[in-house]
Amino acid sequence: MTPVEVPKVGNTVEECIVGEWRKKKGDEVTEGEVIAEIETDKTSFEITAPVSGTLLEIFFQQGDLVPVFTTLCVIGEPGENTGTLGPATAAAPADTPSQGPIPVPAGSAVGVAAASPVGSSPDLQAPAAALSPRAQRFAAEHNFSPGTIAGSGPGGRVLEADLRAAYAAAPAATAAPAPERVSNIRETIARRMRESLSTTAQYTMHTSAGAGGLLALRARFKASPGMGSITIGDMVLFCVVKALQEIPALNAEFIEGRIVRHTEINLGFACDTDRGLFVPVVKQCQKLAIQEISAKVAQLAKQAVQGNIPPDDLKGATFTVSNLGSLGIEGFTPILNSPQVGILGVGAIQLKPVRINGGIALIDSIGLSLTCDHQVIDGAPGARFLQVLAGKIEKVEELCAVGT
Amino acid sequence: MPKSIIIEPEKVFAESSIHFSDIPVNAYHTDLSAFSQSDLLAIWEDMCAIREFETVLNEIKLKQTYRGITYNHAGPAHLSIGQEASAVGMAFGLTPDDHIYGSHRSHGEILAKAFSAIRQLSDARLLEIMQGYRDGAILGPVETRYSGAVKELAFRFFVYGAYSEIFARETGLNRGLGGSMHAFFAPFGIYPNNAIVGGSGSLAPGAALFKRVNRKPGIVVANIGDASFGCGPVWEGITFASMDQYRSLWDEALGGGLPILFHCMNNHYGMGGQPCGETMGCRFIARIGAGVNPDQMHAERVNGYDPLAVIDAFRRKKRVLLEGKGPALLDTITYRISGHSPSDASSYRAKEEIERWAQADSIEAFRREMEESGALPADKLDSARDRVRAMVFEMFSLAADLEASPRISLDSELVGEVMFSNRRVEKFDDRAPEFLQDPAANSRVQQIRGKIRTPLDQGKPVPKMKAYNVRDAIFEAMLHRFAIDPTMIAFGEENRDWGGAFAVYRGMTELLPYHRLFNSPISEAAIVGAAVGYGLEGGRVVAELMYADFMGRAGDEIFNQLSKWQAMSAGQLPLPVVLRISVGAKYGAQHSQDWTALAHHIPGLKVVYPVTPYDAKGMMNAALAGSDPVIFFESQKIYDYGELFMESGVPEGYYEIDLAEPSVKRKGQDLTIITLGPALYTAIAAADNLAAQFGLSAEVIDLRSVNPLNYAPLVESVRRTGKVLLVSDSVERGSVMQTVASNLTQLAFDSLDGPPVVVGSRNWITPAAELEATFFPQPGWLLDAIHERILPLKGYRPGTNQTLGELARRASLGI
Repeated sequence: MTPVEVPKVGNTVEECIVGEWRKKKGDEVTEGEVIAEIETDKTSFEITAPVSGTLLEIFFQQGDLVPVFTTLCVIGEPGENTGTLGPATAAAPADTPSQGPIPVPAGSAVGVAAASPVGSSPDLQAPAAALSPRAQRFAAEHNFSPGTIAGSGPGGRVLEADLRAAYAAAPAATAAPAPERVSNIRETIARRMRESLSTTAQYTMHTSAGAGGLLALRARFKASPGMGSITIGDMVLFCVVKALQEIPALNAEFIEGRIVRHTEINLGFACDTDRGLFVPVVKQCQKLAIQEISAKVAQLAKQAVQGNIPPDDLKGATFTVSNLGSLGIEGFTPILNSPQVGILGVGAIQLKPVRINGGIALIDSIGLSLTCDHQVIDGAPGARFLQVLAGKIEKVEELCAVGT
Repeated sequence: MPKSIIIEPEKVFAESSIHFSDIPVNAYHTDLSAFSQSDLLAIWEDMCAIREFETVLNEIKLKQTYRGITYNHAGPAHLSIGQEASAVGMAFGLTPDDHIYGSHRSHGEILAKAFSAIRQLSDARLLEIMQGYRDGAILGPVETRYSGAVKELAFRFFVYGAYSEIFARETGLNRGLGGSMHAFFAPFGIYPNNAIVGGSGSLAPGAALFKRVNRKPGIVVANIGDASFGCGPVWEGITFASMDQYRSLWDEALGGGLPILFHCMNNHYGMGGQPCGETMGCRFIARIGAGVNPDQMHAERVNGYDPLAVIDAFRRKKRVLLEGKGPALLDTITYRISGHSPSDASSYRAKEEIERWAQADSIEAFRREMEESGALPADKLDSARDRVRAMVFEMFSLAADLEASPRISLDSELVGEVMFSNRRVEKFDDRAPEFLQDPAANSRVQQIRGKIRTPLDQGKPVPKMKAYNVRDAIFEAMLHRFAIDPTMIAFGEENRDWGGAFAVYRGMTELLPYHRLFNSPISEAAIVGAAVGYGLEGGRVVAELMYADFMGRAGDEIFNQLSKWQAMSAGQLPLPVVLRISVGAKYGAQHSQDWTALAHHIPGLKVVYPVTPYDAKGMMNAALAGSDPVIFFESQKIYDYGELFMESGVPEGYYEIDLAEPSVKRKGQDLTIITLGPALYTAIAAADNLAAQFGLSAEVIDLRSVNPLNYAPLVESVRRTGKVLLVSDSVERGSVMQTVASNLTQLAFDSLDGPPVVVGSRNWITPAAELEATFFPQPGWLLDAIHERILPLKGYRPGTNQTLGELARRASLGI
């Protein structure tokens, strides 16, 4: 028999969440075949069968939180006894406050027949509605906390059959949905956002830049071979690179009271996926042409969405850009990707009135929201960066002509 | 009760008197002409060697050092300084075929017997024995340091093995597992010493029985002390050994009375009490012989301080025994200078007394006799004494050396490995088994042939008289082994003629000669003791106790002898003994108890309790093919039950059931009921009830085995059902079922929907048969217990109080 363990994917990974099982108990598997997915706080990973054989036993279900190196399942020959390989007890995941003791009003024992004869002293019976070990195991295995439940055992003891019945009836019976346990990724995002807000002095400045150049350039790209997939967002990124080159103070991190200036410009860009926010990083953007940036963004975004982006591509950003323009957001207050000192939010392109030659014209204008860390970047320098960026965006056609 | 012996009223009431003849006391007159010079030298050397052997032990016990060797001996040492002449005299005329069984004070006896045997055996045979004994484990350390004559090597071998054994070393005769009080060495005719006072008194008759039944040469000597004649088992052993039937009913060709000599090493003291003048009334142990049989056991009282007197007495007793006129009793007067044990401050005897006996020292007296008669010159005596002293001291040093003579390590599993021998032995000898008739012609065999062996006969339940029942099953299994193993014998109370109190042996009287099936006296200690002795000698034996309640009568023999000799001999002696014990019913307080718990508790016994014909035959077959002692419990409630579970019936041919395997008698899903003994049938009735009234399907598992026990099927069932109730007819407190319940709780905790519940008889005496339903578990009790403690049954009203409160109340009252 061969036990299959949860691998340690990434240096800091201590536990993973079991994702989808591609095979079920009793299936034949061949060496190298994918049998399940697991998910770390950063990415997901496929588990392949180390040997061929029959999948004899599966010890964890989708959604279970499992420490690394835990035996996930066993492959072997039918008939082999897997008993010794499984977890010693089917323990409920440790970090779930919702699995507390189940309150049961005393005397709710359903199904108890005629009262016990005199002589049954109450303090010898277990506390009202205690769960039998078998019932507890059922609850743990099914991740089931049913709330009030009647026990059919002596003295109202809750037996496995009682839990089984409650479990079967659960969806209809519960009025409010049980609190949902969050995924690893969500937990990570939550933590990082909290930390960012609580350890920095964030402020956001809004401006807008004329988008005519962006639109025109986009039309031109569409007509050029090999450039058709470059988006407005890619162009904005390109402009950000140029702006950072001019005002490198924003290409920095504030770590333990020290400003760490970076020579490389690694742009992180926010990417929305089913599992939550990912921020892939395009490395060394200062060396890249716009089409290279665009290709890189497209590739990384795809991987993030699919869930197989390499962990290294999620690290090392020096400045982050978050684009919500396609969702109609005009301006917003992006949260710093701490310890970076700046993050740019990009909004939608809207019509805006401007004075031109004594008259009023309506132009396309793209929203720009820059959040800076006031610990490092004061309002004026921050504003100047925004001004420079806006200028780059308005002159993007020239920039690209030069940078092609 | 042979009908051939008629009790005639006229004869019985006629006037007459009982006559006794004088018992000789110290009647020996010295006759040196009967001994060669080398004989006398041998006697001298052996006495000196023994004296030195014991002196070494005495010194290191008291001072922790002797002649430069420091050693702290932590174990017991019951020394016999002063008794050398008796030991040497005893052993002088015995051959290796003569077997001695001893007491806790038998160092001198085993040394003397060994020296005597060594002188009689050829060099080739000695080498074979020493090299073959545990693959030379004892010989090894000795022969690397000595390269002289084989006989001298053999002396050293034995002295070294004896010291090693006393010091609990692996190089000891019993690998250190027997110690001072249990040492033995079978190749020299030295059988186990017994730490239980008088223990050999009930075992040795069994050994003598073995010689008689299997026509083996030699006699058996039980070396026991004067105070041991206060012990019941000794009297029972004497009774068993002196049965008339050996000479009046058994085949004359076998040889007559048992060839056993009860040799009383009369040193005038128990531990401190004095049998003569204080704790007993017979004054001379020899007097006891006069009360036992018309031969007065050929009793004599001899001077144990004169080795020649003892030699002479033994010569004559041995001849009497070999003529088939045994048993015999010898009262050998001796005295120990050393205390009972090293902690003995001799507060019970006057210093003057000890001094006077030291003056009368037998070794010095013998020396004077040799010198004065000219038989041996002083220098020869001195050099011989120095030589043997040096040899003994050398072997002591070797044995004390932890490097040369290591102990088994503290994490060794050796003791566990020798608790049971777990061997298969088809037969212990090759002669043709003896029968009085062809088994095929036997009426019982024919009767059984006509019986129905299946639960149903053409779809209908089988009437009791036609059913092949539990009795028949045991009979068939025993018959099978009787026909293969010529050493196999059976005995107990009312076994022959009556056919056993419960008719298990009906028909065997016609089938088997007396020596293979006979009635014992009402002497339970002797019954079990003789079985142990018979087994130790290497024969298969089935002894019977008519009621489990009588186990107390054979307590020492079951719990200190039968259970322990395999381990105490470090696996060198098997004990192929089956002890059939019948559990009573309807016979009241002293005849209805189920004492399986006692046999379960004492390590070293295999214990089974089959209650169906299929199980009984298969398990008896397995027991009779093994080498371990098996307590085979039977229930009087169900001897006449046919096979109700095995649909294919009880096979006519041979089959065995593993003695550790429980048996699922009925499969079910909702709860598990585990049973032991006839409570199986109670559980079946309860299971039927549960199914019919409550739609619950109970799985019923019959343990069949008490020890060893395979838990896997039990755990598998409890894992499935989550609920388990255990029931047996023994009283609830301390029953086997409590141990099983506790272990199941450990093994299947997370599968449990409720705690394992044990139901047993009330912790009372058994009331009269008419009131038994108040005492023994009834089917209703099981439902009551299930309802109260495992799973309330809809609409059920319990008839008895099975609540936890009641459990606690009874416990606090001790009932």
